[in-house]
Amino acid sequence: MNKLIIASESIIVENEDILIEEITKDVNLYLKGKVNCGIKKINKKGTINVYLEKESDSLIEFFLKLENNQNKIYFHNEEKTKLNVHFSATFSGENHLEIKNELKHSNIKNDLKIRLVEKEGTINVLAVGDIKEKTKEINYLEDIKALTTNNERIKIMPDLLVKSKEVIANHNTTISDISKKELFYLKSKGLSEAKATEMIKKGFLKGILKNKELGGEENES
Amino acid sequence: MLTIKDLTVKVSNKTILENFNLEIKEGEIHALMGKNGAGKSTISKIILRDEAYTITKGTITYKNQDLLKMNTTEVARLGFYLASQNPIEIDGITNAELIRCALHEQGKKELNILELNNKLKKYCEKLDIPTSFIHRSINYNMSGGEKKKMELLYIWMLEPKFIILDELDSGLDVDSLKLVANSLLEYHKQFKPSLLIITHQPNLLNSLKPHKVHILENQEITQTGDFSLAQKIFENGFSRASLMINGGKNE
Repeated sequence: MNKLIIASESIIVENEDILIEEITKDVNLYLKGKVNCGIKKINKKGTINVYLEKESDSLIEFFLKLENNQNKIYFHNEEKTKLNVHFSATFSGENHLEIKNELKHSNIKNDLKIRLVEKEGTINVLAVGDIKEKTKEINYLEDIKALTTNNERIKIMPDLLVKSKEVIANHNTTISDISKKELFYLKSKGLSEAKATEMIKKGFLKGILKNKELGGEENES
Repeated sequence: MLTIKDLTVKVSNKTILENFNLEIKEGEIHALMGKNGAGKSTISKIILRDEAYTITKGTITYKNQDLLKMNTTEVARLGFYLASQNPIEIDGITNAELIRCALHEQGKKELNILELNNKLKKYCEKLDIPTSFIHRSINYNMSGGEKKKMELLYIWMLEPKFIILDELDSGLDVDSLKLVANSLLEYHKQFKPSLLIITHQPNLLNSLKPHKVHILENQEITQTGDFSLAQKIFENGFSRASLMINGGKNE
């Protein structure tokens, strides 16, 4: 797997597995074919545009530590594309995240999973799914889950705009405290409350990642 | 020795156990039986100090230590293990990670990754568990039977001194049941733990031959006997009259 630090405006990846150690500025990421892309660190304030070329089937995974971040991540699919996005992050400080899928073409399957864990901070998430007119065979799923100790610190705003008839679009948001059943299970194996909580949070973030190397440790952003 | 005396327990202001008494000596095997909803699983969670339950009266002691003054972690570190009826799934934490962490947190002998992996593989083979499960998330996407066998793997790895098996035998096919029973027998022979078996089925008890069998009914233990009491229940059901005729003893 290639490991990269991206400081350029554009990068093209074709049929490759890559691990992006850091994105330092606004970037346009062009994905072609079958691409598995892991991202460990992004700039605190900036925009990432991901372009999926025709007939591509790609996976993008983020494993981040957000701290006073303001980021926009936009996905653009060409025709006959499949995109899985797994976005895992802890957040502290004040954060704003906008994730937008603008779908103008047909035959697209996008599956977006976001997992957030609070670490004494707030986050506002705007999840936009904009499915344009005349598109066909669109399957669009947003699944956002957040673990927090204070529900007032997290705000998730779904914005699904569907103008086509041949679409399945789904948005699911869950904001919850740590499961008492999970805590009891781990404590009944002798783990302290603090250790059990830490493991559950880590597992919550790692659970959606295919690339386990990426989920090894939290990464600074 | 575990001693439960005059225990009364409430959940959401509803009394679910009243004046419950139980005594299990070191190395003894006890079975707790009763109809569905009698509160058998509640006992296991209370011993492990599940915070969902409020104790309004009574005591639970183990080797002269007051379990009611302890939390779940402390009870587990005394050597208690609960193999639960429906082990929950936790995605993102592997079995290897949890076992390694539990061994460390319980202050047991530290194993390096290689030693741990070898030990896990050895027990996986013994229990007919695919070794790939070691690095799979806790109980994630496993069948009911596989989850039960994983509980047994945890027992062999963590070496508890007091084991509560809450319907460990449900959901197991005939071969797995035999394997689990033999493995428990072997564990008992080697480590001499106390065992509290909560069950509806005869198979596990036929193999483990409990020293005492208790019947939980109407929030308390109404009958205690030897293994023959369990055999009578399997034959005649829980009808009290039938048990009395057949020689079940009230204690």
